[in-house]
Amino acid sequence: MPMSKGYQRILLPVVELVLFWQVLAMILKTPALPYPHEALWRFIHTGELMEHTWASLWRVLRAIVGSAGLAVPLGLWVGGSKVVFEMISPLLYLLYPIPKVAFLPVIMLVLGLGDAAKIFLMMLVIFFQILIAVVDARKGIDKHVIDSIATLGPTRWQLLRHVLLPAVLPRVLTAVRVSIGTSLAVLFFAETFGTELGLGYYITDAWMRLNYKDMFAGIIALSILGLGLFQSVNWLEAKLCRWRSL
Amino acid sequence: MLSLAEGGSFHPVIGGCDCGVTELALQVSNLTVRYGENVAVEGISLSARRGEVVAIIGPSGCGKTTVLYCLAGLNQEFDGEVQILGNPPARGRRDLSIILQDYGLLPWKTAKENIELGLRFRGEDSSQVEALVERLGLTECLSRYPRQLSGGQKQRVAIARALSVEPRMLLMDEPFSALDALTREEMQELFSRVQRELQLTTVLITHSLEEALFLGNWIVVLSNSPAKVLSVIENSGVGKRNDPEHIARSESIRRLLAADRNEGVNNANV
Repeated sequence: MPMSKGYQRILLPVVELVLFWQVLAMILKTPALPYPHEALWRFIHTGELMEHTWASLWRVLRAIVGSAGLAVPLGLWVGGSKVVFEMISPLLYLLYPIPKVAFLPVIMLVLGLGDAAKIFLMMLVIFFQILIAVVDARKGIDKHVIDSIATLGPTRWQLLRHVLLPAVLPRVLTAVRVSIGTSLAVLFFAETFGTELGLGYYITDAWMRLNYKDMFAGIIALSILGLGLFQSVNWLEAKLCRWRSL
Repeated sequence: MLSLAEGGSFHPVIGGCDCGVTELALQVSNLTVRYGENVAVEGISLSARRGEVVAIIGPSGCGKTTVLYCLAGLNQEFDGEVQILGNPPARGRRDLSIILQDYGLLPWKTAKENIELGLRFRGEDSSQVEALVERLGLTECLSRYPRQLSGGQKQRVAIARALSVEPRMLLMDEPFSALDALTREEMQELFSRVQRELQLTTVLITHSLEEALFLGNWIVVLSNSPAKVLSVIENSGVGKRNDPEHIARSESIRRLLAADRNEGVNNANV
């Protein structure tokens, strides 16, 4: 039976991955790597996993939306003015490669142990990736396009809505896509402190209890979360940037 | 058209008749643009009556586009005086449209959305563009994005967008240069027809002598940078191709440009 391309893209690698996992588990024969069916069984039958997944998803979503909400306007401002760019960009490029995770203790001291600190840490990481992408995209907009639109007499808001935002949007989505992996890694780390909710906590807790089947159920949930976010960005891109794929 | 005498002074004689300055649709006097120490445009004066096409021709990089940007209000830092339909240049003027070399179409908007952009910005009804769309033969491609359009279709969309706001003056920067030879001729003819029907005063920047002679009532020859007016030629053969007079005219313009180029080389050698 011929499979549609979408199915092939998702289903085939999943089957390959499970097969690889199965073979590895058979070779290693260690409780630390349970068989796929055991982990899957636990994944399906652990009711509390849902709660942890939602907690993590809600944190990541707030971090992504918050970062984009700050980075897009700032990036447009920095990339749109030569003077501002020259003043601010050296600082950006200096801060960009600094591993923000190291600041978790400081952030927790300031923002407390709650969600705020975890979201802020993720935002620190995602924010710079989106910001740099927007600055570059804004600088890359053809001056002729802006000039010829300017002669049509748009207000500043119209110029933003019809020209600048659509021009940087593809780069923003690419940056978000790239930062999903990083932000989940950061989330995992942040959720090991000061919370009893979230996949980071769930996985580490299972690990401490030496319950590897639970641990892998958590890893499966985290992977599905990442895949879901990734696919959502792809879907958004297909919807919002239809003109690019024609 | 005010022809320019040596030294840059005006002779307000237009096509042989004395006309009041107020009747001019375009009046540029002593336009000079400096970028720091560099003089990009030096003392350019030109003018046009309503419905005339002024073709500005000159070597590439000579500052033609800078002149156009000053007229469009995109470059406000110049000396001299520019009056367009009796007012100084400004961005977003309702009576003025511009078509740049690469058309400036937004790739994320369909042909229809691109055409209606000027009207939308002004909050006006966009249903009036239908006739224009039909006249330019664009009905079929309204829902397509720019990357799905051919060069000629993109050009038509750009023209439609420029004309949608019903301007009285049109500024064009090498609008036909990216088209293949056949499409170019077709578009020149289409533009010429529409321009005459609407009595659109037009400033056309071009590097093609043939195009200047086909479209321009007046041909302004600019020198290599800084851009200065070398000559202003009244073109009686407008709307014709392969007119015998064109051959003589293009010869003299070529000689003029070649002499200017040689002078530049000699000056550089000194």
